[in-house]
Amino acid sequence: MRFWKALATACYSLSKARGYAATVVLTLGLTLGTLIAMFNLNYQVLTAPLPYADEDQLIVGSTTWLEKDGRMLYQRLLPVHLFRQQYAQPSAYVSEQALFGFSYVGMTLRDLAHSPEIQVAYTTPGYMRMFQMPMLHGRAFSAEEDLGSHRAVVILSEHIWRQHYNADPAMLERSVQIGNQSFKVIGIAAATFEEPALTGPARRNNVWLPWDYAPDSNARPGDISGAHLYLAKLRRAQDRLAFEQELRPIVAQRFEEEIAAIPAQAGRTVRFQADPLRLALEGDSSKATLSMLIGSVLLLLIAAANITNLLISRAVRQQRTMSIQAALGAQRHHLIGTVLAELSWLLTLALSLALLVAEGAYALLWQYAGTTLPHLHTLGLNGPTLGFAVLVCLLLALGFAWLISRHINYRALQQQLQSSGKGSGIQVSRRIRQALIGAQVALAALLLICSAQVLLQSLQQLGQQTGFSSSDRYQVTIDNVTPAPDENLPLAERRAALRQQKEELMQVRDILAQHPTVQSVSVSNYPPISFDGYYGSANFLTAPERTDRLLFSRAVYTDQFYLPLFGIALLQGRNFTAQEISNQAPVLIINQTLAKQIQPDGQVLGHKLYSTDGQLTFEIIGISADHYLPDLWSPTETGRSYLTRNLGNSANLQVQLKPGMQADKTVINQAMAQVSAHYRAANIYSIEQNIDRLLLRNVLTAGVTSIVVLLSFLLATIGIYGVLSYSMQLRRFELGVRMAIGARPGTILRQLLLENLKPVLAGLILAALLLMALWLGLQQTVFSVQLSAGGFVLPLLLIMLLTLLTTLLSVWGIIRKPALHALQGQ
Amino acid sequence: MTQTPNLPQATISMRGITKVFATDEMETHALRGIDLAIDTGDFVSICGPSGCGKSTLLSLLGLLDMPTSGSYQIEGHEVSGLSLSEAAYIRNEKIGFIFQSFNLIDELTVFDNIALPLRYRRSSIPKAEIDARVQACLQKVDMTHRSGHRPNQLSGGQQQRIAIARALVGNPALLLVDEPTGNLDSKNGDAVMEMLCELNRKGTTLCMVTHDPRYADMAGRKLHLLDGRILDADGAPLQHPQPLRQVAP
Repeated sequence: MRFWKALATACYSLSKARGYAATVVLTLGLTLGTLIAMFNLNYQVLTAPLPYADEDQLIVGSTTWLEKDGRMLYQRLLPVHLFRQQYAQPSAYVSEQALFGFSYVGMTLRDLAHSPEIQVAYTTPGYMRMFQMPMLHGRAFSAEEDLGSHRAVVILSEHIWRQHYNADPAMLERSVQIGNQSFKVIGIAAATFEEPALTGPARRNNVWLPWDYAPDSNARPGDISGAHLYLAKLRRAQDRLAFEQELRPIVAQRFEEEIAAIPAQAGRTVRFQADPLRLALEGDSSKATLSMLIGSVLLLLIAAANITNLLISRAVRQQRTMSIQAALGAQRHHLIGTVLAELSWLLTLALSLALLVAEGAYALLWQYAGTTLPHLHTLGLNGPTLGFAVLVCLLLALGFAWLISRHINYRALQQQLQSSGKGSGIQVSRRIRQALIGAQVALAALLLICSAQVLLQSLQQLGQQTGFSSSDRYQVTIDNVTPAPDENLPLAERRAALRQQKEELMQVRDILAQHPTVQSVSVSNYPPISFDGYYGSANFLTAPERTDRLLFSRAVYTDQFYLPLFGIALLQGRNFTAQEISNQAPVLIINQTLAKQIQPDGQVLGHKLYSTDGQLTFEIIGISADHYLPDLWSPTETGRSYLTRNLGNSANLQVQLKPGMQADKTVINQAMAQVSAHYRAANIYSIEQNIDRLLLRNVLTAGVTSIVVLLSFLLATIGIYGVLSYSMQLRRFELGVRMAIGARPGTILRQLLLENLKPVLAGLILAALLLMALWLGLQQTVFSVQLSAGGFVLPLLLIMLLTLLTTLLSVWGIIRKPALHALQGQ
Repeated sequence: MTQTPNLPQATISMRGITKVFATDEMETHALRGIDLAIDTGDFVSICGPSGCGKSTLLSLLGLLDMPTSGSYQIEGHEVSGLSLSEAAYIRNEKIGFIFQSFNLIDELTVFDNIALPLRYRRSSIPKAEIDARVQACLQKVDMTHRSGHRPNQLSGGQQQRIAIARALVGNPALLLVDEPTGNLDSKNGDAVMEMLCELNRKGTTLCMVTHDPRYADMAGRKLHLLDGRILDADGAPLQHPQPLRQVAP
């Protein structure tokens, strides 16, 4: 009963101090909400159970490709040929297995007039059993659709089925056309299927086909593909390392045997690794999520320090009430009970606000990081997160109550009424006040400097010119069902067939170029930045015998229109001629970075480069300007090459429209139909949006760090203001005396500023020491940090501005009134 | 003794001074038309019951607050409408304060407390001169031996002597004294009053608020305040104050 009475009184009391209550609730609500969201994110990424039975027995197998000297060339690749053999004779450790691949070229549903683009996964029946694919209609793959069966069946996602087939149950047993093959629909996967995002959170597959129809399913020995994985369920979770050790030498030896005939691959090896499914799904995202969690903990610490100041200030203001209560016989615990009652209200309100803030944070994360961080769709209020939030609130309440109780001088309060109100029953010593300011500054400076470093780095990357034109430029992915040339044909004939495809696409190009909306068109395997981040590659030797010196480049197989269309500057030499394109002349244009790899001065015009098999010789006829497109694979500009050769698996049209014109798939399909029925436009991607997609991580980083900078600055301001304001309350009379004997407002302000600078400087020194420790710690990790002077100067300026502002604000109420007010304690 | 506003050498001239404290709900008229002149070398005491306006008048005299209306001149300069900064400057140069509760700053030594007004001067004073003037004041109040102590190491009487030294160090034209013996026992109170009388005999102008009639009688002029007005010798409010002498600025 007494507690309810105390709560009612506290409610009334807080209603009379709305500004104070709002500040505490907002400060705590915002920071606690951020912490709850980050806790939940980390919980989902790192510890929440995956929606698959025996998840700890599920592994994702892939290989890392190593150079002769042990240097890593690529990771998460699969020598498909080897694993087809492995699949036929699985390890004894394995109870279930699957091969998994995905489409990385444009594919469409060709049975539909508008041929919508689809994302295709290729797999074996074990995949559906391991991940318990729920079926809305029909069935999953069975042993009849296993490797080598060549049964043309398909499972559609519920989404595709509803969107393009009007949720027609009769679709079962009907056929859909994908590529040049007709597939019988045997099942509709329910929308509740939690597909493991093995190819990153951005991709959701719409269609599952048997493995036999994967483009690389019949890869030759030595072929390595980044689009395939070996999935397995182990009999026991603890068998993972043993399984890895078992397969590692077998895979390495088979690979060595298979590449023995390829001189450029000599000495290289692959290392098999069996990653736990969770690790494969989270990738390197835990670095980002843990950093955000640490940032939010720091923010809450700053907020907690601020609120401590505010609570103490309030207790000081309430001391007369407390004195009367003490005079009437209230014990120490009664007074603390009053404080706890107020805290209960404040923390309950803050917790409610925090849960709303967390929901907002989930929405923001989903909106802006949905394609970069895993499991975001699962974020939401759950038991562990609610428990965590309540626990943090309870700890904060107890911590605050303990701190305040330490500063309530019960004896002084009892005597206060008898001593005409002079002295104070609640005081915080000067040393503690200065320590509070120092701690606030240290935490704020630490957070500000770290955030500012990241922010400036992200802004620098966002502000950098890409080095090519992107407005009104579009990437048109092509669903190409031209039958692949028979693997048994001689190489020259296979090349001729591929050349025929390129020529057909160049005819499409020429037709499209006549269209009134079109400015320019080019045929190539990829644009400078593709919608999915993929790129072609070509490796060269500087001399046929120098197989130890391999030059890697991102390769664009294209025509004479590509460089002008994207406005890519040629620094030396010339562009391709129509004749060279037509003849597929062995000429090459490379970028500056590759030129400098060949020769440090980059003067390599006229030099020759050789194919890795030594059979082709290319003459360098042009050197183009570098791009600036840092991505997951290369944080700095990489070598680039432009060739006249055939397109390979991926064929795109690059289209520049006239200003203000809209890209139209129908127009493109009509142009393609005039040339061949094999081609359909799969999708049209804006190059600008491709760039935005690439820079999304930087935008997200800049956004989050900007919020952190603003929040930490705001919180530090509130906190330091709280301490200074409290100090001013204690010193009001002293300042009144100083003013009475002639101190001018400016003099008082200057003096206080000098006094406040001492703990601020101490805080900055502490922050510098912490930063040094952090820096030394980072040297021992894989994190790499680029430091910028602005990232130090900006926070220091902000802290100095903050000191000036808070000093001015805290003393403003005193120095702008006549001295008498301060002397009378008004 | 009644007020004599027309005497030559007037240091302080007040005419028609009012002070109203207004809240949302009511107005309190603390002073209702005060006319007052204090001349160089005067020792004026202000007496009256609690709430009559003594402290308010002293605050206005010391520019700690500004009047609601009326004219206030110090050495011929109108000071009733000064900014806070200008008022602080005048206080620092022309006025010395002695408070009932001493109002020394605990964090500063005795020496630094006394030196404080000199350090607030608009034009900075050399350290040697500050040292000399502080030492001189310490000698005046016979506290040289305590210059390195903190106020809380001193007795009440000693603290008040330090407060007097601080008030004198800037050579003020007027010394305002608010209940100087209020926090002292009679022995220390007598000693402080003796010191103030001695200062007045040497030419310092004093204006003192006190409850104690014994000490009020030690002043050359005695003013009685009641309900915000100065009473005449018969106890009636002064109705027709004589015009103030114009003083060249």
